[in-house]
Amino acid sequence: MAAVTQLQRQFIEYTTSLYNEGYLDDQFTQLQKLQDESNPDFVVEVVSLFFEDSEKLLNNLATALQQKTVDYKQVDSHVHQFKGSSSSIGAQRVTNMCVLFRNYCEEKNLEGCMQCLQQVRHEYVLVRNKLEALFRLEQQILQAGGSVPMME
Amino acid sequence: MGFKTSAEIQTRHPLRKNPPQLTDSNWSQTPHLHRMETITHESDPTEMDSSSSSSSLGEIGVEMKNNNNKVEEERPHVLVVDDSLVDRKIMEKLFTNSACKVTTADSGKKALELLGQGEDKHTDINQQGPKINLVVTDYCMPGMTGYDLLKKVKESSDIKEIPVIVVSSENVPTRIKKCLEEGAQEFILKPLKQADVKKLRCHMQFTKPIKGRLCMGRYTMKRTSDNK
Repeated sequence: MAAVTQLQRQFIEYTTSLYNEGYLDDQFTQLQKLQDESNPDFVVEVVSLFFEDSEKLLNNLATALQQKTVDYKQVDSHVHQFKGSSSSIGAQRVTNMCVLFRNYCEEKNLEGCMQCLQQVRHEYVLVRNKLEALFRLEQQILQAGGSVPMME
Repeated sequence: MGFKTSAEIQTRHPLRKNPPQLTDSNWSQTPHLHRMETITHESDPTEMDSSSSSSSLGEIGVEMKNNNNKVEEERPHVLVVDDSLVDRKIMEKLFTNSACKVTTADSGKKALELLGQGEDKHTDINQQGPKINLVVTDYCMPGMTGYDLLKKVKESSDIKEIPVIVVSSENVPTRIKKCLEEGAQEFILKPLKQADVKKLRCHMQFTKPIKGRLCMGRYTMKRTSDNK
């Protein structure tokens, strides 16, 4: 079972790094604590909803910022939503970028907003890739007959 | 934050290896029974029915009849209102983990319909089924805000007694004050934690269980002489 132990160690290291580098915060741990036998895929399901939601929001933001006359209230509303959902799953860096984004919306600063859109998209893609990698690791552990280490 | 060492590694998914056996002694702790009670009401008509939860209800029906019906009837019924699907899903789980029955709505308008204040009486679950004991609403919603919903609830003679909790991702003192003054039981900052939900149980009003009632039209809860 050396393979399982190695995978588990990899999982622990990877997860720890995600927290240390600020990709995830305590809210993600809270989500994992909610998961139980009645719904063993709860975290994956919620995170998948977040991914779907985020893609839509990013498209909406791009469209809104491309308008001849930008409606900053509308842009702010999308960012607010994005801030909320990212915060709910613990995607800390995305949330922080949204806070910055909202400041530029308030100032009606188009250039600032465009930059933030790029950055928030970048952070989103990063965290999405990392979460997908994490879920893959979980699957590998389970398939190898092991159990997924629990975070404290 | 730390991890248990490999020697003590606990599994987060014990069921995947060893499914638990449902016995009379442990049924009340079985989380899936709570989950089966979740009904989702959303604007999209294709999601209006809760048939997705009916597959295991037969199983539940058998167990409920053999066991203490009183527990089922006393389970608080929470209406969660939030336009964010991610947050609805999380809140639903928070409350079902705390032994509550949950119905969700994606707008204030939908919530009012479910509370019997809308035009369509057919969606009024307060008349047809177990009453709602608690409303938890997000503040920021398009159209009718959580504050607007709170006002409507408190202005209505039928439902003003139902406690309303307002949740928000933003800590705005004037907003908080406004909601509390309008009659909100509490104002809680998002994201909600399990500890917040546990504390909310004290706010839930219980209504008297009703005999022989069809619960959501799927099975009959019969009271026997053994049950109080």
